[in-house]
Amino acid sequence: MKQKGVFFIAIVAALLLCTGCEKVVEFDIGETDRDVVVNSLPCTDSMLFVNLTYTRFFLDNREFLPVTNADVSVEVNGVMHTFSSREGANYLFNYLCTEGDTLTVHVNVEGKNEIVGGTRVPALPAIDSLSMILDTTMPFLNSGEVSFLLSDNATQSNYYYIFITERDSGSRWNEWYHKFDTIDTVYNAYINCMDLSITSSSVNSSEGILGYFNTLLFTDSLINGEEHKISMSIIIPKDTAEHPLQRDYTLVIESLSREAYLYRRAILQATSMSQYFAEPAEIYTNLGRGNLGIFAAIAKRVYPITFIYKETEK
Amino acid sequence: MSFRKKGTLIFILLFVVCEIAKGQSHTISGIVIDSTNGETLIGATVMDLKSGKGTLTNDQGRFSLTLKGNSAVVRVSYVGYTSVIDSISLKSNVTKRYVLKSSVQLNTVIVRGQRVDDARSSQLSAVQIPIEKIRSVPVLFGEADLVKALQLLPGVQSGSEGNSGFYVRGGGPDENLFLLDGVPLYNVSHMGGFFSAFNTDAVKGVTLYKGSFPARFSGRLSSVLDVTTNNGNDKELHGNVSIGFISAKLNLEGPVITERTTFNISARRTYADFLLQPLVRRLANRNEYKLSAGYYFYDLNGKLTHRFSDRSRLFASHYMGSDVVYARIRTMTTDVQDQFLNFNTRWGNIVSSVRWNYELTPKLFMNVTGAYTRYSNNVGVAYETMAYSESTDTTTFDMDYLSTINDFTIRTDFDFTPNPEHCMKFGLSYIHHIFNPEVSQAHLNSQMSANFLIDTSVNSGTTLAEEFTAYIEDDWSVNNVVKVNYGVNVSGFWVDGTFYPTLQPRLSGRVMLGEGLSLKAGYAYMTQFMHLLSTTSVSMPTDLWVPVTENIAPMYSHQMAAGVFYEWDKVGDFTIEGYYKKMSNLLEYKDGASFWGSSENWQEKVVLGDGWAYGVELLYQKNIGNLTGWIGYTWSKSMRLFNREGQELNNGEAFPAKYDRRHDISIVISYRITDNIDVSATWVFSSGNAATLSMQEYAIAQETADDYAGIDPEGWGGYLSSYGSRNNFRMPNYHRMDISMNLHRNFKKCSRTINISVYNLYNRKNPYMIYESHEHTYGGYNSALVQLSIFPILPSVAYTLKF
Repeated sequence: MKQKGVFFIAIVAALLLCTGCEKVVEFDIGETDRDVVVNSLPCTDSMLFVNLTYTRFFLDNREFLPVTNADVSVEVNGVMHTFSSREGANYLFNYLCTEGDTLTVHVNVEGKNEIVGGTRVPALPAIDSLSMILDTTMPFLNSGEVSFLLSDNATQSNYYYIFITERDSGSRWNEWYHKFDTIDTVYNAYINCMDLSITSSSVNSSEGILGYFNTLLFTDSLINGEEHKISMSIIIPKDTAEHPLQRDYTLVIESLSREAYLYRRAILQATSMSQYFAEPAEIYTNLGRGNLGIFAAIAKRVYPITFIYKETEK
Repeated sequence: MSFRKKGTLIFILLFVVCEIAKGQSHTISGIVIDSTNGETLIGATVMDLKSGKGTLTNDQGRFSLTLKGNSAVVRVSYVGYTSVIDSISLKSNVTKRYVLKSSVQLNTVIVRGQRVDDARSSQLSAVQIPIEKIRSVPVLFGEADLVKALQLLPGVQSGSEGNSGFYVRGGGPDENLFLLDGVPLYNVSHMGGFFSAFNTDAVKGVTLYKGSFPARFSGRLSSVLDVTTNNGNDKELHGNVSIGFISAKLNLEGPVITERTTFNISARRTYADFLLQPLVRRLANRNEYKLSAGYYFYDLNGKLTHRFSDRSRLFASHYMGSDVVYARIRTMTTDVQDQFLNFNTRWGNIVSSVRWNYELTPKLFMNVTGAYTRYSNNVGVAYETMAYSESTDTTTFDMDYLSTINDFTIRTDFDFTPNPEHCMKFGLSYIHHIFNPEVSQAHLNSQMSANFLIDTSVNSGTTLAEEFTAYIEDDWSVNNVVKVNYGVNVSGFWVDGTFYPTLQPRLSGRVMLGEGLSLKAGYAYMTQFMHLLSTTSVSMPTDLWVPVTENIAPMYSHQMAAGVFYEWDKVGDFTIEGYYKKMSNLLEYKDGASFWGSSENWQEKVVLGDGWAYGVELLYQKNIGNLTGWIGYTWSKSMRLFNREGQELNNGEAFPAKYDRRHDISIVISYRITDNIDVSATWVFSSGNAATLSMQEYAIAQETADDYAGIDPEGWGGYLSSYGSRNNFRMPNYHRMDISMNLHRNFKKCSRTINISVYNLYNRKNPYMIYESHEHTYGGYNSALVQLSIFPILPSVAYTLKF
């Protein structure tokens, strides 16, 4: 009886303590004016395009509406190029960026101020001695390692972004999607990137390394002017009926402009665990105060990687 | 202020000291004590009725009154006590020991004493609340709380719901100096801030300074909360035991040697972990899974007082308090292996001090204090697999996060009363700080892979710092109309080879405009050598106290205040005060940074900026009669600006501080219905807190046109949030009513009090936090702004037995 009494008191106390009252708040400020968002990451391996969409109210679930009536031009090394065609929100240009190009985008939408942003295409990353090792001796798992030498150019500031995607029937994997979805649904592989030589890893350092979401994002401050070995390990579950004996991946090594680096860093910060304890902040933009989006160049190298392993006992 | 001007100020001070030392007369000195328990009475008025000259007892209950003439008629008075009138022949210096009897006990008229915050004092921006009043304020779970009672005063704001965080005149929670018997206390919160660390059973007096700080105080920008504890009854053993909704308390006091040596011990512990244990076991425990978890906090105050003579007393006091969260999970996953996960977090303070109080001459008192303070927080996680078979591995992994501060203090204070016109205080202090802001340790040991052993320690390094302070102040009654308190505090902080000297002038004064009506104004320059790194409004063990460094300069503030004070006997005291405060070198985490997820040194995560705050405070207090209480109103604004190059927040534009609230109203009423029944009620209203919420969402840039096609624009990673600016959103207004009733009953040798209280009487769902919710449904997403409220209507009962 006494035990029941204690139990009853405990339940009442717990209920009172844990009565978290949640209610949906009526948001009464109304929708704000939609702003134009300029997104463009001019890249050395694809034709230049600028994506223009409108922002949406934060309680709105609809897709981002494309801006269809914009006047968009890009100045390349002092020469003005206007867009050749538009597909939805993408304004396409007949231009392929090359290393060292200086680009400035001009976007004019009726009723809005002109949006201007500039970037410079960085040098392609200098890569050598790419190699792969696959260890199939471990129980339940296969372990792969990809390594290469990265030669940093000491005469300039360099920013790097490295990741591995899985290829599937020739279609390109969405970068965000594949990086997060690592369990069962698409492919059952964990991709851990780690630089064995650099121990410092930080989301907040302006010069350090970011290691979140199976990517490496870092500046050259720690390897300035040196040839450095980067290793990335891949752990793959042993084969099942759902997974083939051959794994096809793509290693992407990007050299980023400073703008692209700050943009990617801000996104990683905003979506990292530490964000739950941090004051939220606006994502970096180089389009002027009050504007949203990014115009930042990337120089990219892409390497296909295939792991073929023997079927092992299950 | 230039050093030349500061030097001039010091010269003037010294000149004044010399001048006032010239006076020739006789001095009445002594001590004022409570007849029932021998406790000294702080702030009692000692006045010569012939000359009209008077003084107040100091923190040790001592006074010194130097008078001219052959005789004096001294009246000693104190709030709630019957005054004593004494005729004295003044042929030489006289030492007196005045024993006042409680007027409530004798059922006589209550006589008003002088408080630090009354119209005649030169002090403004200060409030003294009797501890009995604090105990009667209805609060959460019926747990009397000193800090929460003070939050009901104008100019003092709480953080979020139920939180004992303290935001004074636009300042941050780390800008308050909490003194327990003169020794700084770092962590004043329990249970994430829902309760303060001060056990009211142990507390004797409380004074809060919000501005116009006297020169004896330094080290924080925004406030000083000066808490003194009970010495203990010097005649007989007394005590009380109380059991409330959330904690049990015990207080014992009495003589070790009658009228010579006394002790006072107060202990408090929550017991929810005991009560909830059966529930946890029943709900969580399965065959393959066993959980033991809980939370508790405790605090212990102990004080030993020895009176060598009326001129000499020794005090030894000790405080320790901790919060503990623990969880032990045992998972039996296979026949051959068990897994254990232990989580243990503990944070709290230890303060030990020894104080010697000695009357050097009838005009000069000395107080020497030696103290040790420790604040620590420790988060520990341990994982262990226990193998029952050779084929399985036994692995232990433990990770600890530890942060500590150790302070060793030596301090000497003097009270010098050369004549009734001057009351001087001066002193020196030295603090040796040892900071260990972040130490993370990890150990991994695998039985099967003997070479797989990690034993690492990562930390920001131990920082030693030396803090020196010297001060002098004089409370000068220029004439019956004008009174001035002026002084200077000279402080220095030595850390990592860098020395930060500061010279902090203080000035406040009052002009009597009529009977009980005065105009006061004051200025204070304050410096702070320590910062609290905190990312949440809730007091967390992860909050870091860090010192200034070579790169992080001290915070400083200039505060000006002015006000009108009016005492209308029987009706109450009216105060209206305005203030302006400018703060520099405030510390904030960088955008996106927090204590979490980084091994970076804390200095790399923070930026420095400025702030300013201004406001108007109105207070009406009624301290006499059966109906007592106060009504407070504050209009205020507090802003921050982080625009230094490379240290910008909010694009370098000004933004409202986190607890910038335009209006705060509090009404506190206590009514004594009969000798056995009294009731209290409080009602608070405040404008909504500021919060940062995204107003718009927008697309993430992709490298190829095809990439845009594959994005789920509503899913995780499909969009970015645009916040516009920091603290761009206002939560709904906050208001709440609490009531309580005390039922007293006296027995032959003891008395009991039953306290019945109701928190949030009309069950207002006040916002604790607001967040955006994006729920994935089959039809798409449901987005909404959701408000979380944590405390509905909460009745509680507490039982106290006094003997």
